[in-house]
Amino acid sequence: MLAAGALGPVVVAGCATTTTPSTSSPPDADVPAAREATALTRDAITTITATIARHPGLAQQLQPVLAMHRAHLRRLRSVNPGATIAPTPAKVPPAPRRALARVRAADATRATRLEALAGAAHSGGFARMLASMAAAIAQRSQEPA
Amino acid sequence: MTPVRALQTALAGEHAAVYLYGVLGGQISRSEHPDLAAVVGASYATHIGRRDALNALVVAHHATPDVSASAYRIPADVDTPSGARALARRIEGRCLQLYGQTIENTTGADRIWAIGALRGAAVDVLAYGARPTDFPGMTWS
Repeated sequence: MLAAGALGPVVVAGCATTTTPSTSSPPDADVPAAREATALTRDAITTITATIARHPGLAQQLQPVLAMHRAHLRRLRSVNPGATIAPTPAKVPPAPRRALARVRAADATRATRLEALAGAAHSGGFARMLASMAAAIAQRSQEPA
Repeated sequence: MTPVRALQTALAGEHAAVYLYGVLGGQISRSEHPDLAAVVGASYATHIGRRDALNALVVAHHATPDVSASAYRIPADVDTPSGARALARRIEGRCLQLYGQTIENTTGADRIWAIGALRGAAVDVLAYGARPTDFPGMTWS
């Protein structure tokens, strides 16, 4: 049996050395990635908004996902306020289950793309933010259908 | 922070995670709390894998991986399900920060590995009762 407090100075090593991430505006080389991430996020918002409008019964499940994407969009705009092309409103399947599955599949595709953008980003801080956005989408995908 | 230092810092976190999940695995009764015991066992295996992967990434930079600390402080109540879950949330939360830091300070294969680890930890922490956040692995999450 291990006695509390008897095993040394730290609970989780490394925690004292984390740095504050830098997420100021990405360098020019990352502007295309920022624009793509913004477009992906706007597309998600458009799709989910349309899905909730068509299927109000999905609102309880999808509102938190929508709020997450909106939080991502606010952060992306704060680091790259440039304009992006407005997404085309998505066609929503008539069956709620299928509509929800389409939202989930599209989010999975978006997360994969955000991770690819993170992997290639020139700015480490911007890479971290994109990877974090993808991880947030992965978290939301775990919620029951 | 250099890439090697970022990897070593993440490795230190994984050494701690492996140790602490090992302790949790010994504290949680498999007969009384089979679901929690199974999740803790899976986390233990996951962090052993990440520790070994980080070791290999450090070696690939022609550096010597830092070894584990000799001991870690264990909270008093880890033999209760709520205490075990709280410690696991703390472990995963620290790892999320460390993976985020690794992403920020590395490139190429190192960063890609850390991106996958960040995603995995973000999902795994949910099993211990954490709520999803908008920016896991960011200090302003």
